[in-house]
Amino acid sequence: MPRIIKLLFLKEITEARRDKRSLITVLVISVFIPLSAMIGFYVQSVMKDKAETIEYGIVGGQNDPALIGFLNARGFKTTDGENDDGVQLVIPDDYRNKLATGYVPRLTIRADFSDSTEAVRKLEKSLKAYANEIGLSRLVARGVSPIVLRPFTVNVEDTGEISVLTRYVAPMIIYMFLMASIYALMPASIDCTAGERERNGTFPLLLQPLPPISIPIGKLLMLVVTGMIALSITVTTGFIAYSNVSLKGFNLGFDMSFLNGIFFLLIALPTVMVLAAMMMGFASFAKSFKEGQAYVGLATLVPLVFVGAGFALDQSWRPYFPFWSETLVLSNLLSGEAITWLPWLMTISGYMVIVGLCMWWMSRSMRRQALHSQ
Amino acid sequence: MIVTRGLKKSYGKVEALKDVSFHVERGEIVALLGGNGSGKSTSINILTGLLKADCGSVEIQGIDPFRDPTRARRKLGVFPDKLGLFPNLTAREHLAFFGGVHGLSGPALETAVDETVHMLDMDSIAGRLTKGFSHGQMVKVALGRAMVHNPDYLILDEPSRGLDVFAIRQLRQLLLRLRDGGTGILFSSHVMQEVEILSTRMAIIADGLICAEGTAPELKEKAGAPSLEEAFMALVGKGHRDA
Repeated sequence: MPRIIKLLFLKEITEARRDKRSLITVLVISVFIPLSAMIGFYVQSVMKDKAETIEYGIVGGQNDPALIGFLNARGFKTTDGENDDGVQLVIPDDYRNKLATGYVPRLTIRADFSDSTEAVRKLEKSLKAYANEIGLSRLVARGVSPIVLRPFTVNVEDTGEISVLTRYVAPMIIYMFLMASIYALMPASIDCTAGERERNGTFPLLLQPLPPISIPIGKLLMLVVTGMIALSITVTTGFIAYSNVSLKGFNLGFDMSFLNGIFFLLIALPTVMVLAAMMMGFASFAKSFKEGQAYVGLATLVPLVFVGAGFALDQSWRPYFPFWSETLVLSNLLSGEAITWLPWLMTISGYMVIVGLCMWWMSRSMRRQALHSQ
Repeated sequence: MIVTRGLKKSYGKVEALKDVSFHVERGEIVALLGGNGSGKSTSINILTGLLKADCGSVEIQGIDPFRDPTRARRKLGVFPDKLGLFPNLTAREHLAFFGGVHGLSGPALETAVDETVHMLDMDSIAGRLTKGFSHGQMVKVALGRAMVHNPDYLILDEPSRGLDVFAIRQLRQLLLRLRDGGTGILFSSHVMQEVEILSTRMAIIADGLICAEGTAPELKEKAGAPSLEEAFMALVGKGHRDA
């Protein structure tokens, strides 16, 4: 049996590596996904960086020097007059008069929002803080304690060892890595099932002295290797990109060592296996490659449904939930947090049962399908 | 010896085989002669263990192909109705893969592949992917695939369809050589000339029944017809009436 499976695997992998559709998809998708994520993070980091280094043009700064002092004390770099490229704060000439007589003056922020969202948000927040300061000083002047407006204060302490950003971003990155393997598996999984059926290629295999289960196992191994190659390229590209591109203070705090890369792939292996088995299972219902594309499209929704449903679950159950389990383990791995293995082991045991059922079902259905196409 | 006795097979209300019995010994060529939908392919699918007969029995050197398909198929080389080649494998890789599946490996496999390539005159195409092959070239690969492991019996489902006259002559010579080497060959066809030249014996099948069995002269005599085609028409007609 192992010799036969090896022969079938070699046959399948030879066919897959010569199939341009599969090869190009693996290469393009596995490089494109981490790079596109990297570009997204880079754009965000540039905007954050811009908010900290940008010079704010102040029009009418003479109308409230205290405000300019307040902003400078909070790290804003300001220049007098208009600043065509950046963010401008306009203090109208009637500002001081209105403020003194109890009217509400209006300050204006002018900027290209497509380019300066973070800088505008930061300025707006500081202006609100300044307005709050003025309000409080007015209360003090009237003999009212500022405590009236601030019955209590809130002190937020982050007890986690990793940043909020890392916790937020890590599952997103892992999800993208898994999507890379799903999309890389698509053409190969359709071609080795529905495509082969369309070409009547299954029938000659069934006429050979092969245990029926060996045929889907050989195909599954080919898909797992294809998926893992795609994932390896994705992880390598991602690790190189995140390690070498300056994110300008957007520190994800990931541990991107070689050893972690290996662990990442090992932890992702059962997920790739169950995805490959499911995609094969769905595609095997189809009689042609085109039909298979529609069915495998449905298979890719399965992880999305589980991920979505996981949000409705109590947090304590998520480590046992499909596609959440490995995401949490991988997230902890990247963040350097302690990993609890038991829930993950339980989840992948369930995956192996699904893989086994898919193989059993395919070995039974192949003969019937091949005879029907005769 | 391949022996089938009283095979019956129905698909729902359709009786594909009503009573099919024949045998094939090693060193002989037996033709299964019949029109479209007569039950030839169903008989072959039962022989290879893909289908279970509703009634009757099949033995390939004493092995029931449905109960022990792996052992039975080791004795067989099958050329199916639809060729089903793998377009991204070369002709040589096809032969090596199917030889390997039948247990050949190492130098024995290489020798078997080389001999098959030479026997089928495939030297010029052996290293090419089959996706660009003509029908004749694909038939050669499918034939090579069936015989690379030197099986005891060859089962060929209309092997000459779509071949030009040169390829048909080459195929005939090959099958006669294999027969002389001790291979038992069962082939289905509806080309009378081919059947008459090649077969040691023939079984005429119509509407799922074996109407007649024997050598070409025996069948002609039985039908009182001057040619095999006339004999076939007469015997099939009789079979139809009997059915």
